[in-house]
Amino acid sequence: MARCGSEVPDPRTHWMSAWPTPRQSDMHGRLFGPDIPRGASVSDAAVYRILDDLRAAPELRSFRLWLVGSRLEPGRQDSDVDLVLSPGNRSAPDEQLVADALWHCREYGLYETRDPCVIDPCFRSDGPARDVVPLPPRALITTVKLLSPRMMGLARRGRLRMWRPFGDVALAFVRRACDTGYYAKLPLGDFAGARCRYLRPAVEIDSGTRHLAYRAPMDHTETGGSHA
Amino acid sequence: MPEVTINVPGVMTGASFTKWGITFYEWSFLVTIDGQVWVYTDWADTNNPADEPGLEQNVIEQLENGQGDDNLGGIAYNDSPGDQGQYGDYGGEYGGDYGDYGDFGDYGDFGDDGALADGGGGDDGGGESA
Repeated sequence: MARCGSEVPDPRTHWMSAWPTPRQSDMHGRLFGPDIPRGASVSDAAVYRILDDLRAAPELRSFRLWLVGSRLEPGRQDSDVDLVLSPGNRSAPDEQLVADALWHCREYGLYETRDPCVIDPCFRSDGPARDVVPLPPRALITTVKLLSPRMMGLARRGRLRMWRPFGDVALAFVRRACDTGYYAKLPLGDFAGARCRYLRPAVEIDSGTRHLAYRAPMDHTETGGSHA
Repeated sequence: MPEVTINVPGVMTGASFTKWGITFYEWSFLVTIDGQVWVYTDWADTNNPADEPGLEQNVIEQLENGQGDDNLGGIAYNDSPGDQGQYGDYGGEYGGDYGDYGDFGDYGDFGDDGALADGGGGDDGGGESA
């Protein structure tokens, strides 16, 4: 039942006026600034090693790890590594634990591997897509990501339908699929005669993961967008 | 159905854009959904404060009914705006890049036909792996 009141101050202004906090500024400089390591192509083998290392990291012990996105396809050595974290058990992890885990993933890829790469981690309480199902353009996607300069800008410019701070360096937000930058680049598939974009099924990272190569799950697929 | 509360009346932020000859204004609501506080953004074709109650009711109905869209449920994805692209925002962006409402072509479909207007996601800086 909805009700209205005025007892709660508007945290929108409060949250935004505090951006960036000292820790957020530190994160921006270290993880998103112009001086971060920008490696060349990173081979699939190197990515497997990095993912194995992350799987073994104590910081990520509370999470399941999933590789998603175009890096599942062979020959995408110039792409960043899209990683989804999900709860390792039925209970939702503490928000600060999530934020710190996202930081660790990003930092590990940039500074703690011999093959620096950009890891783009997010947290999804429901986990990633595991089956090939159509992704309608108006589907709502809830995500937790590091509160990067870009995410701050999106929140400030009203580009996020819903958002709230998540831990001290992350943001939970809701967007429609068609409002994301990747939607137009997703592969197209036939679903009961209808053409629709779909998410590549995620691959869970277990120790010793070696076969991540994605295979198009249906005939007559094509990739839209600039990656076509 | 989630329990939805509008904590304070919606406010206009002052931002707007025009598409199809219609000017849309940004309204910001502070909502509580099942005990969790969120900022909810609505782009409405009115800047009349007298319309706030109606907008508020619309927000409540959307949220109580899964926001009127195809909720993903368990489907998830890394909503990646291609963080490499964030370099462009770094340095001086914090004050708010408020001058780009003219590029709301990728957002002008907010709340209606769901079409991918103008290529979609134009400012996301890339895509799933840019």
